[in-house]
Amino acid sequence: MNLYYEVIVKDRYGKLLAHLKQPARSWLKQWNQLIYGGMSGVAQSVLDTNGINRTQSVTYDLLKFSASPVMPAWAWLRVPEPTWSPSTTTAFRAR
Amino acid sequence: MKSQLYIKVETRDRGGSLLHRTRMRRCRSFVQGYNWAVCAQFLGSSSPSPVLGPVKDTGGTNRNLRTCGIPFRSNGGAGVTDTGIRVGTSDDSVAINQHSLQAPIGQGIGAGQMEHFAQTFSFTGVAGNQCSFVTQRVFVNNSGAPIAVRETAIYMTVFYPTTAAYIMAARDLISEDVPDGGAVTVTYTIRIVA
Repeated sequence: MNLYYEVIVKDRYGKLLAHLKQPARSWLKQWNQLIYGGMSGVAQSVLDTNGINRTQSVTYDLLKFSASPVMPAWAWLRVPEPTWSPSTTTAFRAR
Repeated sequence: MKSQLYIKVETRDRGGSLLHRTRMRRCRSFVQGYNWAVCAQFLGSSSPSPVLGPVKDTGGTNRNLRTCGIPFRSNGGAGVTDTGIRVGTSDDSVAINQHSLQAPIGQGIGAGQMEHFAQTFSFTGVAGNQCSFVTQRVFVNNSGAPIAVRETAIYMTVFYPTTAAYIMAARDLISEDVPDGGAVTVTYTIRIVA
């Protein structure tokens, strides 16, 4: 199972500065803990994005990603974080 | 990025002697139902618009998915065939749009049936750049005759609470001849690699 991400960067006039689409690296432990909890029904202690251990819900909102003020902010995956500018974008593409 | 599924299978006779054991091998067998289920949970909506689906459940019925009260649940208990690891007798190739085992083996001790033990889980945690968990199920053949097990799958729950339905998340081909009184154990490892 593969994960891909796409990033589009435009300037204030809407001019396209960067358009990346590439495989993501990578899922983190929290993802597997959530899937484990869902499959087994046994809740795991999962670090949230603030570094706090949370006992996951294994029912509703297990993986809820859509914006909500009450959603838990799980750290699921990590992607490269380049500094966006035309020059660094070129360098990033060239890798 | 990798999220990978591995499978290992072993068969024993009625005395517990090992007849056959496969090495753990990588599967290429997630099917469409799994991705629909993940998408439904990401959306987290009880009434997605546009509708999310349809995807066929393990009974072949089209379902439009929604957030699920017991998402991904596959902890089938003893004798339960709705969820958990299942086995079957078909060696038809795996296709991404399949929704069930092609010839599932039923629960019981009748002809062609096997007894399904409760599914077990073990979170093995992080080792190096890998994080894994293992889920396993034992199937005992007390049918009175050998059974040729040729396929296995993971069934899980979706679309609850209004109506519980079950989808096939993955299907793999195996080749185990289980004698009368013997048992086959299927072990899946779900691993992510950073």
